[in-house]
Amino acid sequence: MSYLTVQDLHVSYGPVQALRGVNLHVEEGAIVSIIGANGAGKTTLLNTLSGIVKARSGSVLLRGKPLPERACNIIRAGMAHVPEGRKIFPGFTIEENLMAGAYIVDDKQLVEQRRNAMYARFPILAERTLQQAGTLSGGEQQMLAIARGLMSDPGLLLLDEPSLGLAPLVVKAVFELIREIRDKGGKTILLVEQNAKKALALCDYAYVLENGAIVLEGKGEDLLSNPAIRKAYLGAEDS
Amino acid sequence: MLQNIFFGLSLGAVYSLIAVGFALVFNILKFSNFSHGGVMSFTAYAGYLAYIWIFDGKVTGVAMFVAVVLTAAVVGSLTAVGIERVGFRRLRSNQAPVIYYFISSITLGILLENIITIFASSNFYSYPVFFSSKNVDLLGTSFSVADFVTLLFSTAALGALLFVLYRTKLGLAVRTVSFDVNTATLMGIDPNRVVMATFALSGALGGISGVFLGMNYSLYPQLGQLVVKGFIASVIGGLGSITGAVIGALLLGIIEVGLIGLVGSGWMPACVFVIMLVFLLVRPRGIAGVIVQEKA
Repeated sequence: MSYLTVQDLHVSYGPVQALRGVNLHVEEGAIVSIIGANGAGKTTLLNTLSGIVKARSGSVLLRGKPLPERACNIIRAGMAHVPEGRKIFPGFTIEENLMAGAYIVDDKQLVEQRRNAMYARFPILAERTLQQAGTLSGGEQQMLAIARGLMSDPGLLLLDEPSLGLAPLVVKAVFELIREIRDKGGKTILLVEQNAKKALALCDYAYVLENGAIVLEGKGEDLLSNPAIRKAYLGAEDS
Repeated sequence: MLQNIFFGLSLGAVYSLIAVGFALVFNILKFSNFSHGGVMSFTAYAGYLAYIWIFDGKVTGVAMFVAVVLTAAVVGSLTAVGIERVGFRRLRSNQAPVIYYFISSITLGILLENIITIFASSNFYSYPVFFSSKNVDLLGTSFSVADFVTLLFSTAALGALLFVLYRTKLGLAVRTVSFDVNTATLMGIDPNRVVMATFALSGALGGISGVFLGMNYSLYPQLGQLVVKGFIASVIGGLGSITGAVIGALLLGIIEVGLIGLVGSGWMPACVFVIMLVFLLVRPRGIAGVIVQEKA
């Protein structure tokens, strides 16, 4: 069964059309990525899914049900969004950032249990629970942003450019983490990436977004070997 | 000397209530909310009316004071929430520029003052005297009971606010929204409710400070314009910072009392504004303005 279904989604900022009729499906337990150039509408798509941007028309179904009207209720439906640029709360401590991620969880014991699980998974965060998050390195901030996204234990995790501005080694760690979240955590993941090569290698299925429309879709490995994709997104060094 | 410092602290405590009420809203919506002055005038009158109509003759002394202050705090909360609905909710949903909020807040402040003038005239009323003018002798000098209670009650109110901000879930939500509304929304925090709660907290502080101002200066419609003191304290302490506002306000209180002794009460306000200008020039982020840079 399809976990997330997007049908004919149109979004515009004033007169500018950002998305024109996007359709996509995310199967339960899959990693699906959306690749595309700057300005293709990738972030707009995720922001529309999580309700920050309002769609002009189209429908989004999460496990067959329409999403809640108000953006702040969408996480309660089981979809968490790790935004572009991480957007951790810089003046908060690491601990407070995680608590903010668990805002919708009322059971204090459950929150504590999940927080401990995050610290076990990310020892680097556990060492500095009371450090201001803004002083972390970019990679650490990304880990924190993902950990924060997991605190509500969502079924579906939206990740927007998690490799943005990170050193190659850190990028590798982030992608390993994403795979682990799916394999061990059982989450479904929708990943938006500019790093097309890494994203395609990781994902089960991928969509290529161009000028607000899906121009190509297919299995990750198929797209990796697709000549048009190689030319447009993977650069000459692969040819 | 000790007496002057104490008097300055007590004055600063009132300023800190104003400044923190002011800073709370600045924190969330990033504009200087001058309608806070209107709220203070309004609540000062509300406290006065509650005294005349309800409490007079039933309770006395400290109990009376607490009853009046609590009434004013509740009225202040409701007024501020109403102001948010009327003046700012639509601006927020249209994502209007900050200057609109600013203009809206000034307009609402003046509106409240003028509504008061229509119903209560622009006469001065003297506030009820809650405390005997007796002095408390301590450490070889004497302190007035009113100053003492002002200091105690302000500290308690600020303590309660800090508890809400740093120990409750509502506080977490308020602080989260002050960083970034969209990301807070992603965490499941309802920005409308947080903004409403912030205005309620700010209004409650405004109500308490309104009563203190009434006690200190007698009652008139423009009483709330003393919100400027809160603004100055916020600038000195760092706009948007709660601790900064408290530090700035206490400093301002002591500086004012000191200046009255040095240059007289005529020159004092001018000097205070010069100090604020110096701060804006030399250290615009204020004393507590430790801004954490977000890494790219």
